[in-house]
Amino acid sequence: MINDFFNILLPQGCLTIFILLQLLIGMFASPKFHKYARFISLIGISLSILLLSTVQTEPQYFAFKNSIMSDSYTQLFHFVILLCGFFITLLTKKLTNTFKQSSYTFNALLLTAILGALSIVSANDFLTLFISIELMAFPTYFLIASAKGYHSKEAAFKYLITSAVSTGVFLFGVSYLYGITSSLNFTEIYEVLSEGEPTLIYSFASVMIVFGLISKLSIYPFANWVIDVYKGTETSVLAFLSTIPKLAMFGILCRLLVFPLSLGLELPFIIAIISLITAIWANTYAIREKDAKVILACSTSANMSYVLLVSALVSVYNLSTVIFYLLCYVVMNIAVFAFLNITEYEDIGFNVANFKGLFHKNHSLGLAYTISVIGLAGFPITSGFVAKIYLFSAIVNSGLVFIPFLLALLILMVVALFYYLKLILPMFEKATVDTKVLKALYSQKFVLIITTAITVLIGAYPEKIIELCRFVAYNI
Amino acid sequence: MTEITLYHYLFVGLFVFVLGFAGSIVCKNIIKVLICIEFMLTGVNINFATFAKYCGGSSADGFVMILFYTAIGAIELAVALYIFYFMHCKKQSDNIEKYGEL
Amino acid sequence: MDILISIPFLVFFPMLASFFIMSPLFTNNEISIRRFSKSIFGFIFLYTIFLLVMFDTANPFISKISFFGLDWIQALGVQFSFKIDGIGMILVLLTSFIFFISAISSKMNIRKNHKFYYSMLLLLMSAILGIFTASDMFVFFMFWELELIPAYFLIGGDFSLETNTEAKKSAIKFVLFTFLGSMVMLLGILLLHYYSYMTSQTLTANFSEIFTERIPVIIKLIISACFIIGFGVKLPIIPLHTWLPDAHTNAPTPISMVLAGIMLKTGAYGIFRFNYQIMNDVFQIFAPVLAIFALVNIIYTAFVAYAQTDIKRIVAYSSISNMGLILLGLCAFNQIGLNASVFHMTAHGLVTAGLFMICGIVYLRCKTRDINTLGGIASNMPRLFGLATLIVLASIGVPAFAPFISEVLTVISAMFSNLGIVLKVSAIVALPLLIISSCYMLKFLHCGFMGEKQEAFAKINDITTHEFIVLASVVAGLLLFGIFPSALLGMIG
Repeated sequence: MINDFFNILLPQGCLTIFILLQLLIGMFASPKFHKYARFISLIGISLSILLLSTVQTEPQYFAFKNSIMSDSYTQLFHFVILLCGFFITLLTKKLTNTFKQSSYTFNALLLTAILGALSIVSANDFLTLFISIELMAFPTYFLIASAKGYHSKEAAFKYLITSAVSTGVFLFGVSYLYGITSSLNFTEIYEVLSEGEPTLIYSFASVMIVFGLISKLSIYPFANWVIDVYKGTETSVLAFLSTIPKLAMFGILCRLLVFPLSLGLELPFIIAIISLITAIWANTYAIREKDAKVILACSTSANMSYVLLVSALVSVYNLSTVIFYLLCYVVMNIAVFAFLNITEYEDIGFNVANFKGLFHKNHSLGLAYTISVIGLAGFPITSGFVAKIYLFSAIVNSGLVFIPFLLALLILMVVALFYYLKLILPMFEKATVDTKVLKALYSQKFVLIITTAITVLIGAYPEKIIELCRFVAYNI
Repeated sequence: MTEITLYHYLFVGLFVFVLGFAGSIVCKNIIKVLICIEFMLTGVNINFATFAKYCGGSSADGFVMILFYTAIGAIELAVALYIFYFMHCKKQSDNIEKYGEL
Repeated sequence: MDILISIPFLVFFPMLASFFIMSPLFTNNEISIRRFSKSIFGFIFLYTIFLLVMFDTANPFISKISFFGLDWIQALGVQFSFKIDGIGMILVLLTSFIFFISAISSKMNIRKNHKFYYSMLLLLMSAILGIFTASDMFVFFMFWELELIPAYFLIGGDFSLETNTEAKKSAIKFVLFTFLGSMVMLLGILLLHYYSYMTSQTLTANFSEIFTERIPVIIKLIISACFIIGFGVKLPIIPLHTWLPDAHTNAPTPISMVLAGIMLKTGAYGIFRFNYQIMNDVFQIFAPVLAIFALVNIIYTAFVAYAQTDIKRIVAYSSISNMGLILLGLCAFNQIGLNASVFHMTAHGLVTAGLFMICGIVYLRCKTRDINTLGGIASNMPRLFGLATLIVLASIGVPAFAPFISEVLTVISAMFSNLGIVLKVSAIVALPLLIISSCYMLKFLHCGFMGEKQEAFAKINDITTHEFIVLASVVAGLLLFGIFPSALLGMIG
């Protein structure tokens, strides 16, 4: 037991210690030290990243009666989640400044959510998975609600209701799977199921499970609510909401689709159709919108639907493309939200018309933001371009049946370009007297510049990262 | 009298779950929505208990799952009520349509 | 000597220069920005002339960038490889020349945001050079998409003193149209790449290594159709052309020169590379259909051009018409047709750049482009009038100028084509083009310049030496290739 802990759980353990530390210090520290809460979080996350190197990955390592596992796939996801967590913690400074007293609690919640995300990826049975999902979800409600005002509460409440319903659906599916196989462990379920023919009840259960999980990915049946949630949420929390839960959910969804849920034949088609509906809905919805947050909510939905489509068509090659796309996507998304975080606290608001002329007054920030948005739209020299080609090549490889889907997605990319352009074009208009010179904190600038640099570097030379993704995908 | 089999329990579980799911989508009253979520929880738990009893064998996984889900469901409800309290202070209503500012 | 011949240097040097100008390190001083970028364009032009001197048709330049011994995207077999063959060399030379003269003529038209303008112009040049030299499908596609960003900002940007709201709309229209085309093209590229891999088991995206023989015909037809739609937007083929007149009319003059002079040719080049060369067996099926489209292009737009009142629009429509001629040459699917096509790309590139520049000069001085209000400026501007007459004569296909050669060659090639009666008929139908085109071009010259002297234009000045040299060099190029066509034709091989 203790061996298991030291072999694979050190990063999570480290995070847990830092969560407790935050809460303890929060109780006793005087108010003037509250601004240092972030640094404790940053140290904790950095330590966990370092401790990732101690985790055993070769060969797959199962611990705690097979309920938790570790391999290079989980390690990569852990690394990316922690990295995102690091950036997001840097972005939260302005938000935590607004509430003085409870910034230790806020940071503890953020760390807890990250811890939940880590556990989701490494779960190997449905019980662990369920508890991890809730571990990530509970702090998220509070993070969303933490900003001042009524809107954040409403967003949090809506997010909570969606999550609660989808958890119910998910567990209902799990209960049937448990009934068929009398086990909750992925490996055992897979072994039992692969012996017999898949039954109707199995297909029903797997559809329920997938529906339960995709609610956090803002896929169609839940996508309407996501837009409301995005509208009411503060941008640094939004940077969290649009990256880490997505990473964690795809981390586990891919594993589920490769093992326990891979036996039904109709699941890929159902998922493909849902993804297509989501892509159409999200892309067309965003055309009319003028609010940057809503546009980005739609963009998140659309991107996730592309990834979901490919991850449903299970193969090792597709898995590597999914991982690569997710990596590129989260980095670009954090960059975009870092810029919005700067503008939010300069009272510019989220209407894209208010960005007028910003580029002419803020060259480097504007350029970084533009590059990231262009990357989301999939233009070259950014990682978005490579990711797009790589992801779509996976659809072609999956057979002629999916070519119409690909054609639809490609045409939707044009629609998407239209609203991405809406995000950046006002910046290049003529500057007026009111146009502000943005006063950004060093941490915000740091995040924006670093993430943009990563985007451009991966775009110029993607081979090493793709190689890593392929290695990881082969080892799942 | 017919014997009460696995399928009877499963039917009850399914019925309660569907009731809860439909209710959570249809209901206009926020408190009712929260109750419906609890219905879903109950439906799932009936299923788990049945399966644990009839096909679970020696392992108690199903019962453990019930334990956790009940606990987490309770916390979820508490959190929901807590956030709802803040919203209620502003709006003084429990109709879901009053809360659609976003 | 080999070390001096480097295609990656040719392609990426303008890009690096563009980033350098954009960066905060570079000065904001208007004059030094202009001088610096002009010298870059001049240097690239000289470098391409150097490449031309070193060029040998039998051994095309080939080079490949590898990063630490790895390909660009190994999972897809994508290599960052470049190749300049005869056709590529001609187009590279044309590109560097037109960008050079466009940069020179930017002085008059660009009044604001110099830093942004010149860095975008350099980036555009880099992308277009990349398109003409890439020898890998995905690298080609990368440059194809990269071109859109600077093109958007150059068309819709805020560079002149008066604001032009139409420009932004037409820029968005341009980007969306072209992006739609390139997405369809991406589908074709992915399909071709996948089926080539499936049938030959070698993972490659190189033009010369793509293996198409064993791909089922129906798939080949789909792939070819994707490419034709993709390139047809840029070319443009008639139903997909609506972005062009707006974009060309509203863009600043130097950008119109680049758009019509070079960017349209990338579409024709793409059809040549992908449909004519790689998918050549299916192209024979498509060629008669495309020939009909080419005819529609030629004739329909010629009439539309005649009906226009804006001089820039006349030139814009005339370039659609001429692109139809280039397409017709390709559709003939024989050596003469290819020669004619490439020759006409060069000739028309020069003509249209010259014509757009004349439009720009007239607009700068008279503040109007309406053909009904213009007129009577010939006596005030004898030098411009002389040069304009020469270029218009060239464009309507008077012997001794380059377009004459290519128009005649195109008609001949269509006559001798093996692809059935459709092409022979289209050759006969294409002949009247010469008459219609002479109508609208002469209208351009007659209504634009001649006629009674007008009070409003009494004080305008003739062109400066600056502009004279640019236009004269265009005329010289047209004469050179018109009198010694073998200088170009020899290189196509």
